[in-house]
Amino acid sequence: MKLLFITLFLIGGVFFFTVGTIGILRLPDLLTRAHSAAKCDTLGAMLCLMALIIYKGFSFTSLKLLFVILFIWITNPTATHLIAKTNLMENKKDKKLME
Amino acid sequence: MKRIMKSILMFMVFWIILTEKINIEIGIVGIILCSFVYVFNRQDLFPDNNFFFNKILYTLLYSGILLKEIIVANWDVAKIVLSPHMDISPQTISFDTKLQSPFYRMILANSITLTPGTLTVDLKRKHMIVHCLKKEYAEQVICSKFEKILLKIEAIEHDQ
Repeated sequence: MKLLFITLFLIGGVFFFTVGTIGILRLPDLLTRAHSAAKCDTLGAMLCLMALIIYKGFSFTSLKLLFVILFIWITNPTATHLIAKTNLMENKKDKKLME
Repeated sequence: MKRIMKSILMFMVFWIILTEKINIEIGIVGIILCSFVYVFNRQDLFPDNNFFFNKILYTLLYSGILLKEIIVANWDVAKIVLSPHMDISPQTISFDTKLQSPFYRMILANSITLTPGTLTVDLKRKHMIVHCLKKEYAEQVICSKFEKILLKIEAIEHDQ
């Protein structure tokens, strides 16, 4: 029963990581690619870590893994936001140089 | 005094989780380290109203809705990416939030980025610039559930 849940969660996690990677390759420009890169970290990483938590049961290790999930969920949007903002600022700079 | 105790208790729980043991040595070292962390960070880290202790019910509700939204939106974006001809219409929209405090604005911006299909590009005071993968997502962003819950939390805070 436990093994079934672990397998399901891991397959789900790997699926979303795969979709994220395919998205990075297929989508047309930087901002849409950033969407894809942000996506595989939110759900893919969460599902993989959840599988590990179920495997370990209730212990200190699982609590640490929960903190890892929380940390990823705070840092990942921040990093994506910075990439997008840099893109915006570069575009503005380019426009000024063109004029 | 109560605030100091609260934050040091929070640090101690974190410290015990990291060390995986409870005995006297670890307790003493932990208390010393936690007091140092508190002294060095008290202005930046802890605003007067503590988010996690006062509104724990709303925090749980918010995390639940966020989790549900992330799963639903992830599934939608996965369908878009895997379909043979991607029907995307990327566009950038900008709108003003009604939220007052910078902390809740930060949470709103991070939630918008966490739900796939939408991406916060810039946040200046009240003005937010959001990039969307499809037109439908843009409408969802402007009247979002997140903002409503955060507005409620803020209203409670004003009453206190």
